[in-house]
Amino acid sequence: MIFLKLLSRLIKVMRADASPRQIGWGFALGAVMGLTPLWNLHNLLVLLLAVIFPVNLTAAVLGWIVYGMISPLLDPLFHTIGYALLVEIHFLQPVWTALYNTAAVSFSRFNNTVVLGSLAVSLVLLWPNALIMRFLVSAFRTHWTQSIEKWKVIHFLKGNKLVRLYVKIRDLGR
Amino acid sequence: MRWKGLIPLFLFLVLVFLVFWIWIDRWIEQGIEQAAQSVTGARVEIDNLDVSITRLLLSWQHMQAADPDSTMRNVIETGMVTFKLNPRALLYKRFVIDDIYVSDVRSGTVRDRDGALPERKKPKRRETSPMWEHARAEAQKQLAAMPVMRVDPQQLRASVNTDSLIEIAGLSLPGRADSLEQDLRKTAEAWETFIRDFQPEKTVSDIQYDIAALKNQQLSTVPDIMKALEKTNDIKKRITAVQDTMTIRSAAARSDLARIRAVPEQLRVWADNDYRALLKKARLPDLTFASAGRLLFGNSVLRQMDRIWTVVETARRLMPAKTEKKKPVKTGRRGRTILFTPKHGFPSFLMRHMHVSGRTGTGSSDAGVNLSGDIRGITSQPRIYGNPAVLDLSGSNADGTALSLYGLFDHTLVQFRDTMRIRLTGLPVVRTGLSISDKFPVALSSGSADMTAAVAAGPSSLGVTLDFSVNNASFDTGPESRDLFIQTVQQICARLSTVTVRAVMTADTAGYSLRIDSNLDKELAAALRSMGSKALADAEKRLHAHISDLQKKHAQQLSPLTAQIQSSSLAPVLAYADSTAAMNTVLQGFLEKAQKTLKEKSGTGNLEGKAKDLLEGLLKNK
Repeated sequence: MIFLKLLSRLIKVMRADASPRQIGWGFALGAVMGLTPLWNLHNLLVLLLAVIFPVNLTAAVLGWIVYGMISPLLDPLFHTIGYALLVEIHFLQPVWTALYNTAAVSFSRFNNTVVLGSLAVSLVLLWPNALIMRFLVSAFRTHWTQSIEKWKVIHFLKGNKLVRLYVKIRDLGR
Repeated sequence: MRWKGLIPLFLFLVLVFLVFWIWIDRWIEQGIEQAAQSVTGARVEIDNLDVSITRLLLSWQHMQAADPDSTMRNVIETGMVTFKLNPRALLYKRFVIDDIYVSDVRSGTVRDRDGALPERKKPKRRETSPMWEHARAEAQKQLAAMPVMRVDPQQLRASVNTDSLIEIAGLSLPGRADSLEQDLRKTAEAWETFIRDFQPEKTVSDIQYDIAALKNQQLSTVPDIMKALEKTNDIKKRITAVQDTMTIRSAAARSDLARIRAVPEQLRVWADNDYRALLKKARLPDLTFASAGRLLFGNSVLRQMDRIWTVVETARRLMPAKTEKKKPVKTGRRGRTILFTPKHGFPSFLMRHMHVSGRTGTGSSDAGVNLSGDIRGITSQPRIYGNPAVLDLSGSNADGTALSLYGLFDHTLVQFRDTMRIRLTGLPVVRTGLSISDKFPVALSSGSADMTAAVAAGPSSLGVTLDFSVNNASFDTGPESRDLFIQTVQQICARLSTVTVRAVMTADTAGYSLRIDSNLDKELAAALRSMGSKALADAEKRLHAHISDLQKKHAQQLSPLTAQIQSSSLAPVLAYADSTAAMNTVLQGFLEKAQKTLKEKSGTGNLEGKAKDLLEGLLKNK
């Protein structure tokens, strides 16, 4: 039931409820949580940002789910990047040492290669994620809703039980 | 900005905190119990654990950990334990306890229910010092193989068994006596051959006749004198010939006679040499103080040292020699945790000051000693902490028994150094565990014992010294043993009122040594020596008699032979030698007479001069 509600919310969002900008940034923040290991101090900060700033939370959940599913596959890459940052780039060593000796920062587990690597990647992808999502939402709303409605396959599917279920779900959000 | 969004977040966090707060006691209790069980391999139970998150305070009312080897007993049991975590260190993920109060610590207490785990977990293997393991194994091996442990009166008798000794040592007297007999027989044969071939009777008889005729001859004229002198010259030549033979033979005869007369003395010397050689072989086994000490106290001392070492080992385990290797944190995602140089100065785990109070006894029947004191500086990273761990406990009980423990475990350097001193005074002897060897039915039954143990250990060396003394000691010697050796031990114990033992064990890369000295083992060693001396004296008598008999037997065997040689061979030869000497005396008298006559007839012419020359020649050749 929660999943159906979430799906309904998502469709509602995609149609008109939030601005593409809010959706884009919500998705980008969710992506940070999805890409990095969940139980870390920085994710509390991300959550706080998502709550304080008027970003779309449904998009954030979507971003968290989408990237959360693919991130384990990217762990070797995160490890390589994290190892390079922590060990191989020497001029950063004093920074890490200072952070290591800063109270409470050790709880962030920044000195884990996967944590730091994934955080770095997610921060790099933050802006592109926001832009791409914003563009996709705008495009969806401008062109694709009406075009898709005209597709023959949609007419066919409208008679289908599954599609009726979709409509039912869609209407849940109205 | 969407500040209203903070409200659900705050509510969510409060909810999380509440759940955490409600369950944290249970979680921590279970966590500690399970972690401890995986280490001990037996049930660990904590009662009424309480956590104060705000004050970072943790306490429990009671804790008991079952002994995995005897699950109806506790290996340790504590009463109230309270400690507070250092908040600043906690911000660095370091667990630093500045003060911990542990009360009513006991060991070996009886449990109400079995402490075995349903599915017994294999406890983690405890690392023990290889140096100690090696030293203990060597000591056990040496104690098991100690020669003195096999000493008994039968062995003492066996060690001076005359028959086996004679057999082993081998006597030279019989062989030498046989050789002498053969030599004497050859001597007898040689003299018999000489006497058979040498017949001087006729020559001597002729000479004696001529001398008699010469004595009656008138020396009125110089020609008469000349004739007599010529005759004398002839006699003299014949006497000389016989005399030369007799001189050589009589010298040989006298030598042989001396040799024959020395036969009994020779036999005595040979017998004496044999006797001394046998005495050397009949030495007693080594009964030094050290070996007697090991015999009496070796196993007990080793057991006691093992207990002391267990205490040291337990304390050492709290202070790792090397900086602990940090286990990788399980994140559910792969990765590596990179460590940087910590500058905050907090080790991963530190217990700065532990206030301990408890008892050493196991229950009402064994009240033990009330013990209290401090333990300082227990840490998982001694080099970061930079201070040694110090254990300082002391206490006493109502009956006057006092116990003190002081240990210093310095693992701040690679060359770590551990020292520990345990002092126990006024302990009723029944509780010491140090008793006479299991080999003997003798045990300390009462007395007041004092014990001081000192341990020093480094990476490649260790030393354990144990001083133990019992005053007003009495022994339970049991019924008098038939075994003479045990009987001796019983007698010594019955008269001793003080027992002192000093044991020193050292081990390093070069080797190991264990020395045990005691007044009891000195007494025993003296008694053993006395016992051995008596056995040796008996053996000496038996050996002396045996050798004397052998000497007499050979003397009797040789006696007829020597008598025969003396009477039938040497006596005639010597008699001839004597008779030629007598003849020479007579001849000398005649020559003096001729000289006198010549003086009376002097101045008669050339013949007279010739006679004078002849006479002087004879007198010169005398």
